[in-house]
Amino acid sequence: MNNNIIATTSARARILTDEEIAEIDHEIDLYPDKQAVGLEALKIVQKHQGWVSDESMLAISKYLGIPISDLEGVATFFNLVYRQPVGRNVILFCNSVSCWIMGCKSMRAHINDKLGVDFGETTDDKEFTFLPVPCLGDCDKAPVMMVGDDLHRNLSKESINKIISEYKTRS
Amino acid sequence: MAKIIVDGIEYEVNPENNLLQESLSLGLDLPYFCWHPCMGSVGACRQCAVKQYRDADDKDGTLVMACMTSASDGAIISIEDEEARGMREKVIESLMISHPHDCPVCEEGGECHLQDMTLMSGHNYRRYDKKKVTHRNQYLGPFINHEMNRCITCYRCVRFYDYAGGKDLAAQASHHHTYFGRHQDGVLESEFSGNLVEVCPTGVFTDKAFSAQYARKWDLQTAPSVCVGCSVGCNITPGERYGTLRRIVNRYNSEINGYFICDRGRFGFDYVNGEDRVEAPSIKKGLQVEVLSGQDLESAIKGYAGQEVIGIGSPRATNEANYALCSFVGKENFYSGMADNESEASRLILELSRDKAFHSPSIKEIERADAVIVLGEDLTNTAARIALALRQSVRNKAKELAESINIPVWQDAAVKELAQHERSPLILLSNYATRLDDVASDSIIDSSEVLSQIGYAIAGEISGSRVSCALMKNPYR
Repeated sequence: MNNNIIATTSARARILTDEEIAEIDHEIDLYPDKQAVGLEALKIVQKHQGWVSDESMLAISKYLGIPISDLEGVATFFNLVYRQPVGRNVILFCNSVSCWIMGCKSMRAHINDKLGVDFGETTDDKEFTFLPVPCLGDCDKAPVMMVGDDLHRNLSKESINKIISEYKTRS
Repeated sequence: MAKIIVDGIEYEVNPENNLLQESLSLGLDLPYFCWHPCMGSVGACRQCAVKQYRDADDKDGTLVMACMTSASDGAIISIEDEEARGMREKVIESLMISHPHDCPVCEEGGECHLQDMTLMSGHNYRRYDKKKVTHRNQYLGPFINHEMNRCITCYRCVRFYDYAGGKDLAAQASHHHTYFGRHQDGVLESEFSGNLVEVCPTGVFTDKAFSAQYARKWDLQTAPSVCVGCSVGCNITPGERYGTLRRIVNRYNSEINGYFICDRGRFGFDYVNGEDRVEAPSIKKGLQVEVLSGQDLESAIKGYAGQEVIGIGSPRATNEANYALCSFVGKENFYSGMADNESEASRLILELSRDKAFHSPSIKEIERADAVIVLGEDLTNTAARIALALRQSVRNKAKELAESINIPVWQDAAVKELAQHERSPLILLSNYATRLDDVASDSIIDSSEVLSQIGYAIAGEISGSRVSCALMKNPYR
């Protein structure tokens, strides 16, 4: 009975790819009703598209029968669902207590110098987006950060230089 | 009935309710934001903290939210307890961290729940001197103004919106930047969106049309009235200033509208101030229209005495005016302004309403119904407040499920979580899709002829005697 979504919009839904639909359908099988799959669908679309556009939001809303305002509530609740384009590599930089004690402030300044971007910003060449994250659960190896899916520990200016040039050359 | 002790005084209360509701009913002052008599409790705002004691020997007690605690027999609580008072004061202080304190320019000022609660809780001086969170407001249409900076995140707006079946307003983001709005700018789609103005305890949602010609509440002249928008008869309070009608707000009536009215009733009054409105008796001579004074009117009427005159009344005019015209021209020369089939239908309604065997349920009764059949009526468009009541009637299944496992019905979030998509039966028989289809267990869309046959068949089943539809007189045919 939830097919009656009255929310209208000026923007138009994009068409989900076969791959996205297959993965979302798999998630739907795991839950008693498909409205429960909202967050998983957002993650799937982000995995394939890099971020979640308005058009993707509408596509998911339509596919799962979730009102767009509710889906937007889910998307904006989670900081790691990107509602604007991000760079090819997302740096999640921990600025929580342990990392702060271990000098993450100067590491942040170093990345800032090196890439010319601060928290919330993306480099002009769209290679890196720099975001803060509260704790990556690896406090004994502080300071830490993630680039993409990889965790980097015991950061120093030298290791940061190395990490950045490595990801830059990776295609 | 149960007995509870509040600050050493024993009171009789209804154990089916929560402590907040019962305390308020007893006339005790306890501040709150998120609880609403129609929508129950969710414990979102943490404003109604009281001290509860295990027994007479318990001297320490525990802080509990009054709205989330049953008024069960033997409960011992303290509203005046210093720790509870302290908590309430700190909670309101934290809720108001980013509140702009713009009361002098805020439309809500003077009838603001937040102002009242702040005063009640004793939070007189603000200590926070850092940067406040600010939001971008949305365009929500011609009726509702959005000022998110005033929000104290009580969640009442989205809970009401859900209550009214709206789908385009939701809570966005999280923690200090929680935002209540649409997914993008646009007109609110619910036909009950105007109630946000009254449901919001502060000035996030305000009446935009009223603001265009704003007056403080105490500068309005108001009177109890009844809405003329449809035949439901919702109780309203119109407010006037300098000879013009400025706004209409809900007036509580437990049997009819309760706390809510529809947007047509709230905003659809501009014709009252219309320049073309006929405000005095006038006479048309050729192309000229002359306004008549009382004396002129009498002599003009006398001039027609004994002549063949017809009178055309109107269902929009008062009964008194129609009756006066009818008496003047005589019954045979009077036309009520209604077409024959409509006139026949209203005669039938009148006849049925006089028939004691035919019970016309009140809105309160509709809300409590176990099952509802709507025969050939698009209630959202003809009697919107009843459509809102039907949305509540389908929730009775949820309440029944909750009661079966001892969840109090005022535990709103728990009851909804338990029921998921379970609803009481609502069967709609209509010529076309309606706004209630999303909560209907069955919607049958067909021609009036087929729908009336189904209606007769149902009536036959209920009365136990087959009623042939050929024998029944259908005024619409």
